[in-house]
Amino acid sequence: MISTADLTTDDPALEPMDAGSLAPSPARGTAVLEVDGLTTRFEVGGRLVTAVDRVSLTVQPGEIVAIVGESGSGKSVLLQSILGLVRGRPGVVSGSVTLRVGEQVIEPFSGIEQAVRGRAAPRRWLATVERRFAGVRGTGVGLVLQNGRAALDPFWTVGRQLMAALTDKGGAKPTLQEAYAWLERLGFDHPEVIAAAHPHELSGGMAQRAMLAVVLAREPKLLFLDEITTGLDVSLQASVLKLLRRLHQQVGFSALLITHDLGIARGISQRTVIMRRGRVVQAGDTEALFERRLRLDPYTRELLEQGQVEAMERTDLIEDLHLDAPAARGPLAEADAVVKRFGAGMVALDQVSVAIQGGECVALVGESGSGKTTLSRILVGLLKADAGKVAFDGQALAGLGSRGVDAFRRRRTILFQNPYTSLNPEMRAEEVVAEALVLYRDISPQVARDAAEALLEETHLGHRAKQRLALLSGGERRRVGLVRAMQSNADLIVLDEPTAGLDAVHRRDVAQMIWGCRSHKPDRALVIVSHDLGFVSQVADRIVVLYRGTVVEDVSVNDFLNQGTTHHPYTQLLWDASRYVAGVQPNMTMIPARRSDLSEAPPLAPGSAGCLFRNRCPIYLGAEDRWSRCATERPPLVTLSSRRKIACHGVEHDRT
Amino acid sequence: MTRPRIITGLLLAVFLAMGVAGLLIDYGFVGVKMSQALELPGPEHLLGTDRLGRDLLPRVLVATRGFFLPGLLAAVIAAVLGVSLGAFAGYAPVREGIEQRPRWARALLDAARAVVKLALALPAALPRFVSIVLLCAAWGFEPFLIGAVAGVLYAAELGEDVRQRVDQCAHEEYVEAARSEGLSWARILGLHILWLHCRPLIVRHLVHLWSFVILVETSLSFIPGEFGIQEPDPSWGNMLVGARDPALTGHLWPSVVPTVAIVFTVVLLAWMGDRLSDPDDAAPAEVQEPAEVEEGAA
Repeated sequence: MISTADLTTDDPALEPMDAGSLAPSPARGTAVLEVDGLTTRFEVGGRLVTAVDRVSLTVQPGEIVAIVGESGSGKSVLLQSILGLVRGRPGVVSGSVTLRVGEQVIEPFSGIEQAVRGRAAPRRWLATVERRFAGVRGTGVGLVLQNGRAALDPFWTVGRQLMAALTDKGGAKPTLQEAYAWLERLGFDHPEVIAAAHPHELSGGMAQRAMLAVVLAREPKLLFLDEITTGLDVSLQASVLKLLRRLHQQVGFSALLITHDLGIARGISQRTVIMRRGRVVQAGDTEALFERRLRLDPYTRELLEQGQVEAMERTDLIEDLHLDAPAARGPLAEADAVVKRFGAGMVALDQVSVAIQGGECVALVGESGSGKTTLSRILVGLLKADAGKVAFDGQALAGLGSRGVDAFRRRRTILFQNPYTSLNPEMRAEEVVAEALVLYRDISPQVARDAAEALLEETHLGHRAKQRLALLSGGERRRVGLVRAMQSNADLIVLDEPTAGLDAVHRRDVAQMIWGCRSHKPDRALVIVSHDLGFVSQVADRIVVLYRGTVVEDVSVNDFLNQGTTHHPYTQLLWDASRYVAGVQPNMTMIPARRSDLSEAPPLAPGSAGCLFRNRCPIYLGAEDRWSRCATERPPLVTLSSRRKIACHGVEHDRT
Repeated sequence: MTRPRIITGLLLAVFLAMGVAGLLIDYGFVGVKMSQALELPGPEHLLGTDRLGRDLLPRVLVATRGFFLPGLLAAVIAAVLGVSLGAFAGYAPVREGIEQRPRWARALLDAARAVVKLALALPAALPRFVSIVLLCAAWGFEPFLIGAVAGVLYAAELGEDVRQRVDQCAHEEYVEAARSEGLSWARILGLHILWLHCRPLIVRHLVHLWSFVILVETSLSFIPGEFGIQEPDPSWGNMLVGARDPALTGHLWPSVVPTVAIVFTVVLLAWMGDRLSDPDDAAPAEVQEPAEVEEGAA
């Protein structure tokens, strides 16, 4: 129940928007989308939370506008509000939206103020909004979501969904050829195979492209793209973005793109709107923004500064740590010729050897399915290797008795990858952190609770301390989990994707947490599992690159960043992709398309002969005769120097 | 405090006050005054009188003795039995990696779990009300006996629900994470699963059990014969029976009082059970953003 008093007392922190920096673009009246003063609120635990606060923006025909904001900044709610899809109460309470798609002009919320009149909008209001949208959703405006596999109908083949989309569009009865044409436009070489597949048969990147095809086939005038690359690894992100750019040139749609990553906005949008805590803090021409020709809001400036991948300044702190690291002792954690299989044929790890010294920070890098998470779980004993030796501090894990297992458990900590499932959603944020404090520091629950609150305050999560995790966004949960893991006094800490879905400012927070955690206990080893080469090159000492269950390169960060070094072509590909996604490198020299279409030759399975990477390798492709060794002989991991090992016939050849 | 919570609290207070007042009132056989029979509410008798001229207010309150404490007993029995058995049968987290129990220990534990699981499933096949009547016919119609039997029968249903929920939670990744950190099983099962995830379910079951005991007791004493509480001790059931003859001659009031009492209490408990099982600050799903990284371990 909401009393009128709740609604009238606004957050005291609210202040009138700075009209100067947010001036709407001049060509009003022709815009495809006009949003004016939109406000959306939700009742949470008897309090009203303003999720979207007086947001105004426009999208001109043929324009891509990016909305950038951290997770929880209200950007997704804004999109749902515009589309009339908000189901929380009271939902949209004021403002107006104008959509001009083709001949139709729709103002779904005209009259909302009268309907709401300081209270929750009546339920029949939803029906009114629904009616106004009739015939516009799908054909007039299209929505592409983060998880293509979940957004497609699991019971229909992609082809059938495409045909339904083409039928929706109207006109003559669609033919299969038209459907295939759309799939081809989205970069599928053999559309008939994709059309016959069900969504669960597609990989994440393929499903995302199939979803784009289904949405675009209705030929919407305005596209809404909600974090469409967030769930993908860096090389797939690059290929989806590249495709989207090309399609925009060919088809010429207008789009509102939502992302937490400023780099993506830079690569693809003409104008950028930056949101924070439900409000627009900056809006303007994307180029002008990056060239800093605008008067910048402090948050935007911070985002811009942190977002530069080139600025790989590593603090002196880390250099000192690195030098002091006691290298004389044997490795703290060691995997020797480890093999891990899942199910019958799936080989996740094939003869992988990694040694991690105390005091060292090692990054495991690779695409999805490269085995990096599996390797990290084997190192901490959560999974058992099928063959090979895993040891911690000189002792084989397989031989630990129950007492040994207990002791080992206290000496290592792991931050799980998925913050939605790996933290109890019913716990409050401060309880999550306090529990770890009690467990690791042996202090009383009361003291722990106060300390936890202080820790959350330090990481800009103070306002969430008393809330259940179920109410927090994914990025916030990830940070809570990270704060928790960092309280451990373990000798080995494994962080699985600590920065996925975080914006540049929070990535900086994470980097600082990692630095702090290392300086706190200098002989502690860290393992960071990530696909973000840019981030790990800031915090790690050594990078281990995995491809389909094998180590292809093991290199110290100094050598990695050294311009003159020749890398494994796969490392190079990951690096280019991460720079492309970050918007630093406008063109990709290499095509990172992963050959995982059902139609293509299947990816080379681990265990097959020859180099597994050769069907994507720029050295091998086109010069198969010269590199016949690559097809017959698996390249061994060759030690080039004390700080560099590479498994590539090509690089090895160059050296000799 | 939100408004529904305040209302829930107030109604709960009324229910508890009725029960406690019923226990405290000193009620004897006195009070039969034929001259005051069948009066409507007035200053002397706030709720009027029955066909024997007895004041209805103390009778309606004293009648709560038939189910107030027996219902509590039933709830305690069901909670202790049901939660412990359900938790035992349900909590079997995945054990992968280096940590393994000996094979025979695992086999023994699994067998014990299977037995408990079967035991929890069986009583569901019995019609509860008939079972209670039959058992009480053999052992006597004591309110506390009714409560105890209802508690045991209900423990199976509660236990089965708890088992399913615990089983589901035990396979969640946060349990794996907590175990990998070395949290004790008691904390994981007790706090993370039972307290945080099963509490609403347990509370709802127990509240419904209480109202079930009320209905059993009332129904039994409504049936003429040697069932339930007998006159002159009051129960809502036998008050209704006693009000039947006056109702036939047009004096409806004495039957209104126990009817309202029964309906109020049972509806109140059902509503309260539903309220208590809702999380207090559920957010609209839209505020939460979907999962961000979709690659798995395999």
